[in-house]
Amino acid sequence: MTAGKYFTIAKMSFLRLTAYKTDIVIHFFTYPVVFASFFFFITGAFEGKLHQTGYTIPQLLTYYSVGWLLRMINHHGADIAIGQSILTGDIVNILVKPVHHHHYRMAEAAGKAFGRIIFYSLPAFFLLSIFVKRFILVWDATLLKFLVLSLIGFFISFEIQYIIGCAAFFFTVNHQIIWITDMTIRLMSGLIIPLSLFPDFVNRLLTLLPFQMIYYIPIQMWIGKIDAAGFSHALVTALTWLIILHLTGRWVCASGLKRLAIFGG
Amino acid sequence: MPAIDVVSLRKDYRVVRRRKGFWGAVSGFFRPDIVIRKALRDISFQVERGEMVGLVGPNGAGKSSLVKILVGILKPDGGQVRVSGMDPFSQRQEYVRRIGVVFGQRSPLWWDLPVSDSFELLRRIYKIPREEYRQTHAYLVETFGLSQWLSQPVRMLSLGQKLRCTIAAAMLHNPDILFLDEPTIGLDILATDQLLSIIGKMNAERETTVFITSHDLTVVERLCRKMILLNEGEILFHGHFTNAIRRFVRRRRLRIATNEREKIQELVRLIPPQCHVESLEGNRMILTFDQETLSLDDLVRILRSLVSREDLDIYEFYLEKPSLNDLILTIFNPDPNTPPAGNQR
Repeated sequence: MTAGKYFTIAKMSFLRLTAYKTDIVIHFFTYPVVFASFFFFITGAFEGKLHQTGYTIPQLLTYYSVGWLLRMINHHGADIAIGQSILTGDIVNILVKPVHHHHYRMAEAAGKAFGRIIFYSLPAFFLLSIFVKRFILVWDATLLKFLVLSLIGFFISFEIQYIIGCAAFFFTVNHQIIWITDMTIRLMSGLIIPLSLFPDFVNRLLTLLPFQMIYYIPIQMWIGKIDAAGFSHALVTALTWLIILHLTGRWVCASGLKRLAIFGG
Repeated sequence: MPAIDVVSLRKDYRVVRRRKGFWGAVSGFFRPDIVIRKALRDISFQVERGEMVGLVGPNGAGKSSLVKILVGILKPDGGQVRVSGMDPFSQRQEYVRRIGVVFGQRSPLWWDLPVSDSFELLRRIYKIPREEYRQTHAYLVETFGLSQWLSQPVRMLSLGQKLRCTIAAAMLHNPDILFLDEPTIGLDILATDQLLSIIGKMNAERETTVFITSHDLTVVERLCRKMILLNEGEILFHGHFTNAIRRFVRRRRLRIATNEREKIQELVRLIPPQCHVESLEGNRMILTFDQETLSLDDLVRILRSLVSREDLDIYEFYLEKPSLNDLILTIFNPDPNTPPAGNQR
């Protein structure tokens, strides 16, 4: 069965993550520091002016907390890994196997993401639920809707990273492109500032792009700012973007492979 | 049907040429100088099933491009390539099931995980039936002597151990053809010897076609009877080593030693004019000669007369067999005293 080999690739990717226990421990302890800094920043920046933002303090705290929980999962570095493998020529190790490059990388990202959920996001979530009183917890259908949107958001994030990584087929300097896109996506996906806080015309522009599906929309779902009709609309839009980005990624990779030149041994 | 069938294969690279100086760099940014570098120029050859063929040539000859086209990761710009009856690039996913590839400089094993995990992943990727996998796995573990390393993470293995595991990994799915690109790079002489024995054994037992490229010409020489000699994207020679040596290497080397140091000086005066003294040390000397101007028959006749003279006291002489190294040096770095190889083509 074709899915079987990709499942094994995902499993191997998960096992690779567990091979570096120190890395897991360091991440586990450093992410709460990022969270804590956000709490001080939010309370300092928004308290007293909340009527202008449309968010309450618990909503904002939850917004950034959930944003970083998702960031832990989505930030698996597929773009860097793909770009490096193309630039160094190590991509040959995948190409000489009977696997689809796109699916191989996706399975790898999924395996890594699963590990990051287990080791980073879930523990962080429990810590938040226990120690941060103003963190909004949802246990009803909203949670399920959030999970669905986040899952699609994860794959959208992967597809964007895949395309950016594959840019290495065409440009010899890839790390700058990766860095700039990552920063831009952080900004345009609502991870740093909720999109509704941008000026109107910027907000309208950003809602036309796929990046909001990675963080902004799922988090809005969590904090109760999207109703049933909004969920259906978000679901359809997210799936449409996923298909568009997936096809674009396949096209970029196929075009790149045609011009792939690995000089030397 | 041949295992590898290549007809008029062509590959060009677009290379950006840097201009000199500040303004050159600025103008090159907007209007880069693109030059076309021809890596392979209409080459054709065939490799039969079960053969072991060595691909040799100097740096930049096009060896790497050819191997990458043959394994399906590089798109040719012209010509036809059929390996195991398939087009490597357009049928890549199906095609790579039939071949095994080893790039000595790039390990396909998962760095952080035990070797056995990588093998298990390959079993799933190649969809090898369990029973077949069990047998092949047992055979490879025994042949390559891998049992004590299987549970170790790849990063903890030595270079030689890693290469053995890499080649075993490439053989797990029982490929028809094995492509080895620099399989012994970085290995010491003992590890190289063991590895070559194993590859030779596998070729004999499983009739796997082996296509090998290496900068260490002794590797190619020991494993293969046939070779493809590539230079600047063209095939200079394709066939048996002995024929290549006969065709290109005219200069032969004769070593002579006398019992006493003084006698060698006397011998120098007696050597035929077609011979050139390459070195003279103590009681030993090395002579070189062009076998077109001095035939082996004549040489044997001269030697016989010299050896029969008791006053010369010759105790040892032998004619060196030209190696692949000699062949490459003769073609690509001809000695001014030696007729250029190109004249003999």
